[in-house]
Amino acid sequence: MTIRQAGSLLVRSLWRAPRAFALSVFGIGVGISVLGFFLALSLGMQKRVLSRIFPTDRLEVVPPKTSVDQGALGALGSLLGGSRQLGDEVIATLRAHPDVLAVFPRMKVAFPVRGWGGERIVGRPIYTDLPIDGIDPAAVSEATAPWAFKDYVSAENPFCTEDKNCPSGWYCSWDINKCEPPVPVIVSPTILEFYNGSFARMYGLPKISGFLANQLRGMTATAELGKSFISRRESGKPRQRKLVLVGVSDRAQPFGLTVPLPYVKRWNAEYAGGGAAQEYSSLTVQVRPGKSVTRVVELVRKLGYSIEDNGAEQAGLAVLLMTALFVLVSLSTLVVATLNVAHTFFRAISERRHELGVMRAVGASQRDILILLLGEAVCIGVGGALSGLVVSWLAAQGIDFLSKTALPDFPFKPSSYFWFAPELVAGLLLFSVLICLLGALWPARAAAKQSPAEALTAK
Amino acid sequence: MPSESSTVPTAPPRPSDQATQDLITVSNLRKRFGDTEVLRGIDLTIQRGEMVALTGRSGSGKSTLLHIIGGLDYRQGGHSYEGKVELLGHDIAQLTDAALSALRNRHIGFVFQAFHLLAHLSCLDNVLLPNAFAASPLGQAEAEQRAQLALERVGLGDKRRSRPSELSGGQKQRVAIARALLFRPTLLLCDEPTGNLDDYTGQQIIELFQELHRDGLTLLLVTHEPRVAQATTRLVRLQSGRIVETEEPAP
Repeated sequence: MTIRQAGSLLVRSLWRAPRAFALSVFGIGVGISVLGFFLALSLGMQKRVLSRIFPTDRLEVVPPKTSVDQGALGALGSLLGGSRQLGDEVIATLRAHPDVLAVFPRMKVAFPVRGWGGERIVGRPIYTDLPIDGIDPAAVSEATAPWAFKDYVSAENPFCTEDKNCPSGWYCSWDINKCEPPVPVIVSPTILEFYNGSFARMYGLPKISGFLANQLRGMTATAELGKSFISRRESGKPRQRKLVLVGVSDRAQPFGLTVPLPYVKRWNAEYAGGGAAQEYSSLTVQVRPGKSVTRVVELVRKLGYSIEDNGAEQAGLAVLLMTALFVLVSLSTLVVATLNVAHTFFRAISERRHELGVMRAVGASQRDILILLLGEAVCIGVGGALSGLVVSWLAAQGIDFLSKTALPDFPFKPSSYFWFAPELVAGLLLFSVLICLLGALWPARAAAKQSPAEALTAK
Repeated sequence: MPSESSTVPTAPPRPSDQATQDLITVSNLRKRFGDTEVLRGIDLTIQRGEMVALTGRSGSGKSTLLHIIGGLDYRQGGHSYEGKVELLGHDIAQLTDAALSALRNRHIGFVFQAFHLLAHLSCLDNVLLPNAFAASPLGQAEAEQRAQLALERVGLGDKRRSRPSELSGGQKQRVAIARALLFRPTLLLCDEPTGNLDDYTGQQIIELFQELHRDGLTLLLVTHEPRVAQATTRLVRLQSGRIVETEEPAP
């Protein structure tokens, strides 16, 4: 039997009982739509929400919080040599691991800093203490403007006594009489999300969209090193530095400002002592694409350090459990649908015994009968998958629309909660066809095996 | 399958088949349904060009014998009879399902008492059905032309688009005969072909069989109707699974 002949027979066979065909398609479609909806939701949450909050391809290595975290060797090391520090030798060890793409050190400013600025957003300056981190400029891949995210302090910087002695955009650091560009600062998308989701609503301030974020690039503020609005503690000789916002990056600390690492090293050395300039607060370990973080985690723990618990594991586990629960519900629907297909086929085949007997009499082989009946199952599977996917996609569009129009803004609110990945669509199509084939296989085999004489003479 | 001719769809024996005149040879055939032995050592030979009637009471084993000869008594794992049945020189017990299906498709036409037309297909599509399962199917145009000729041969050229539900019993049986003739078979096996027809229509079908026989087709008809038996060249009577009488009806 040729494909054309089989296709022609299939179409006419399905067309003669459109209601039965539609019912079978409906049964499968319901299961696939539920399964597709929850899987797309799970993928969407992973891709559009969780991955923005908790990147899965990188680790944050921190010094051990307690001796329990360190393992036997680490604990012994702590007892003999004091607490473990994150230094350059740890960076070298981690960089040598085959699964590690890059290691970027991070250092926190170890003394009080206060600052003011923000007139371009709220119309008047905001005064606050500033948490500042320094990170390796190589860690930032995002475009920055109007300045590159790098260290601009150099012995060759021009001498000055006032700003007008300096090139355009630079200012005069009067304490050292050197021209410098403002210190480039990046902020995290998290801080923008929280600003939009909370502060902008609370104080009726404009939200910072992608456009506005670009507009804010170049916004300057002033930091006063060694002084605080909160604490009376002062370190070293207070002096002011200009800061300029150059971009948004998920490598920046979630709440606070992030500047190139050399600035923080110099400031810590000056205000908090040499030791503070040697000790990194954490290391961002970027894992190679396609590699698991597991082996790197093992190495980190072996070295006696900890992985920053940012909640990603728990959040991922929660999503996984929820997805598993919904998938189980969907699968039970599909099991019922599969049984329905099997039942439909048994009934249909029983009703069509004479027809199948005639086909055998005029030359259909057992294989031909099997192909015809399984072909019908494939049609039901494809029809069920397509209708189910359309329904789940429409439901997803409805939820997204409701979220857009009826829900208030909140941090990390996505434009869509769903992701119908091509692999998901293909997988559901394949799965639908497979369960229909599974449901039809037994009755189809039984029909193909029966003797043509018995089929023709069946009452 | 020969496709060179587009005339009346009955066939003379092929050159390769002429080596033997024995079309069907049944030797010591036995068949049981559970504890009941339905066929008890049947020996029968049918030669090319014969028109044989197989008669007997209900339950005498006529239809069972016809099904076995036509290769319809086959299930997964093989045949369920003892003895030997040779059809066109092939021991059908030795054929695979695919080979036996191809033999049925090309060389045997079946006509049943209940017509067994597919209700969702038109008359033309019913006649074309064997082409769907042919190892080398005819092209669409040629197949349709041949099916149309077969319908005209049985007097239903104008019914090609009709559904079986729109036809009378006699017309349905004619469509079934046209279907059996699509590939110009060597042998036509008929199981009570007039059993569901009135006298007049039945007589027309008998005359059609006689016409086909005159054109060279070999026919084996299971019947309990004397007038059908009278129309044949040989009559084989079965009783309780045994052949009890063979006779050639008077012209």
